[in-house]
Amino acid sequence: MKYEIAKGIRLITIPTTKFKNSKLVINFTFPAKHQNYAKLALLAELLENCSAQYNSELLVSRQLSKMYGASFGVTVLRYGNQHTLQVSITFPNDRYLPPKSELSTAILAFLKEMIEHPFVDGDQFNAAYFRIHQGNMIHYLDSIQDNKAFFSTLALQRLYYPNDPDHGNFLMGSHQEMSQISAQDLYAFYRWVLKSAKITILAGGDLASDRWIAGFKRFSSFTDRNLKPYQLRVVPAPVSKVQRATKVIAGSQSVLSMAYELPIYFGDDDYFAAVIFNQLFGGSSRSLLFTNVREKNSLAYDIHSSYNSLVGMVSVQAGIDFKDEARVTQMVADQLQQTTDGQYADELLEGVKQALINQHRSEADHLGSLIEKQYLQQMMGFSLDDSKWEQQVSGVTRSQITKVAKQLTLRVIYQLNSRGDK
Amino acid sequence: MMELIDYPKYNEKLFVQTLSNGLTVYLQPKPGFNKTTAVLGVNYGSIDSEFMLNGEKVIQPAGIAHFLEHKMFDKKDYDVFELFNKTGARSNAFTSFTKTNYLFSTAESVKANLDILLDFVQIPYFTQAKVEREKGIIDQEINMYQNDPDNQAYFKMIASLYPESVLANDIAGDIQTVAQITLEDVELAYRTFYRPENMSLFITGKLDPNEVMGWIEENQRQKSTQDPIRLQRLLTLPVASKETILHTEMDVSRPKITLGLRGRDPVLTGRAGLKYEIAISVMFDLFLSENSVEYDKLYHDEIIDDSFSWEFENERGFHFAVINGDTDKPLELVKRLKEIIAAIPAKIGDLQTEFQLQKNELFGNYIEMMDSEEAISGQFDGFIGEPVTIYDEVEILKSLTLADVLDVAKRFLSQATIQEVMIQNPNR
Repeated sequence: MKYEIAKGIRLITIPTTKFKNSKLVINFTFPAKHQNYAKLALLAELLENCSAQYNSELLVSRQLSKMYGASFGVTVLRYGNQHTLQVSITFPNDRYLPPKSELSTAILAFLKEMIEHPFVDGDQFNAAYFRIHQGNMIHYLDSIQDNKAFFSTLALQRLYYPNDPDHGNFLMGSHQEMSQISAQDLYAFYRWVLKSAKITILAGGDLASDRWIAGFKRFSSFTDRNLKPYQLRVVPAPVSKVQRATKVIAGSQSVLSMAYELPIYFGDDDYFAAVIFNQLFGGSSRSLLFTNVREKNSLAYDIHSSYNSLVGMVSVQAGIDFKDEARVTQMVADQLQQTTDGQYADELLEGVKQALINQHRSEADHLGSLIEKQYLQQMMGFSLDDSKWEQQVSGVTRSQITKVAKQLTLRVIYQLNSRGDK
Repeated sequence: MMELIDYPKYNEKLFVQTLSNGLTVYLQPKPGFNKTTAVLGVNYGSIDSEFMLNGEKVIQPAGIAHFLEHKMFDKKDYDVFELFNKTGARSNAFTSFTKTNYLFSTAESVKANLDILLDFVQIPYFTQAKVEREKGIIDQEINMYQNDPDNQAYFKMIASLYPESVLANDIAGDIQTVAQITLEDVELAYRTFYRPENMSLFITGKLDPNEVMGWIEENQRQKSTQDPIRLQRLLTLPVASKETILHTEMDVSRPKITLGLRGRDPVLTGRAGLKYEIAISVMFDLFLSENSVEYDKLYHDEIIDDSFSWEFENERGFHFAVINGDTDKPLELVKRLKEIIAAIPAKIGDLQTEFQLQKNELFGNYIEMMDSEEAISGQFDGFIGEPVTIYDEVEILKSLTLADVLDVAKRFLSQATIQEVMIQNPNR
């Protein structure tokens, strides 16, 4: 069910009594601009940890414990061209709590406090609070290099979008951007977010919708707003040649990453064929990449591909020995060719379809997945009921997969090169 | 006959039956769910590389249990993932210090998947060539772990706490020990540990208990019986060396410090073990979680940040705590942590209000886990002498008193030995 809290602010309910917990998600969204990335990431950190009333991390933490360990989080996300500040809270249903418990009033009051009364002094975030969390975010950004696979993924993304920082930059910003934010600028930015973002609230679980509608209507910042539509899909600028880069590190393993453009997006006619293509190519543990690079040639422990249908990209990543880099790079190209040529068993194709249907049905057992699915459908204006979804998957043909595979264009090869000198 | 354990407060039930071949089956239906999750556990992990078999001592290369886990998927002319691919189920396996778990989850064809799971674990196919081929994959897995500083900090800590013991090896072993593994080693390990009486099968989600138990019995009737063996596991844990800081160099952005506590009080099992574990968790929460004034102080003194965490493991025959974090002030953090820990027995009695708050939080965490088949099955340990589910754990928590926590804290802390590991980049 959908309800309008104010112009540009919508509440969507997903009622179910299947679970012992309920979950609320509030998404504040606007077009993605790289100048905002570090700011929104730091803002999420500041909104999560303190408020005017709970003016220390300890007090927020203890309030959550009082509310039976409710899981509260504020995070940033990017859906294609959409920048998102996400506030979420999960909490147990009253019937499992001591007699006469009524948690929803406290949850609503807590959310209102955390969103509407940040820990500020005058026109800026509290200086000491701001400084310590800014420092923590910088430490986090610096520590990404310790995670070799993630570090490679970020480098791949930068190379994929040359001269396009809105899409190439990391969602949490850089060390330099993070350190340049002031407590005053950030609070001004937050006031802008509150006033102008599109707000979508998703409420899943055993909840009385009247109470939540009334509750969110009492949020004084949830006022009418005018929203301009924008394109969610990210279409990369054409490049004339494959971007290649290598970084040499000390370590025990090299990481090979590759990215292809695939101009097929969520909801397109070939969307389901693209999803199945990815499962055959490297997305599953029976894929051609897994079978041939790992199982038959023992060249990797982890090798996989991913398809992002909001940005039209397929990426491949493998942890390998540096001396096998050329060989594995060639093998990835060979597996793509095999997929294009339809050189895979009918049985594998049927299994991949079966697995997608199986996973789709399994998602109904996770409240978080139900909420995410509902949100994606709302956002993209594309929804299918479960049986139509399954029909679409089952109906994908070999020729459709070949058509998809032919559209892949290699854009980037990135090597994090370690010669084993630990 | 299936035994029924009822949890009316949470509308949940557990069905238990030990089959004639010794396999114990636990069924925990989740009405309304689409998915079924099954975990076949083997009471065999990385520490079980030394044992007495029928009176003879056997010492196997480190990493053998993990190696065996990999090899179970590789059959004569197919890979087990191919079978799960046909049904569309998700499957996985992992090896810990004391256990090997094989699992699948599916919204379809539960019977077919159950047969695949039981058959691939209970009907091995090993050859010399297949053993050799696996080594390359496992070498890359080991290299991946060695590239991960947090993983290295953890295993170096365990090795410092338990030097010159089987616990001092990584779960996967190292490239040299993996190279030593032979076909005979694999076959011997399999015969010794992969026996129905040394396994447990836990299934939760969409299931009809009578029907599913019938399928399992039918499957097990087709398996041949194995000759009895006399097995004695050898776990020798020499006394820890004097407290030291082990320095390791890696390309890390900031120093990583890990502090370990090796418990030397008796390791309890069953409900008593879980009560001990929950009490220790509450103890650490009272002093090192975000709810504690001690954590708050360390945080505002900028000695720790969100990378700080701790964990406690109560395993078969040993228990330890590991506390770690990234910090610019590693020595200061060690000093402060040791002061905080030393003061726990004296301070804890005054924390009645904080204790109630912590119980409140943990109670809610258990309710949250009850919605997740992964949490319900992941939390279950079929080898502690009695079935204890999260629905039992939450009752143990409810009856826990601050006096219980104080008692456990004293037992653990008064005898525990301490070690530190510091990972630093020499160029920074």
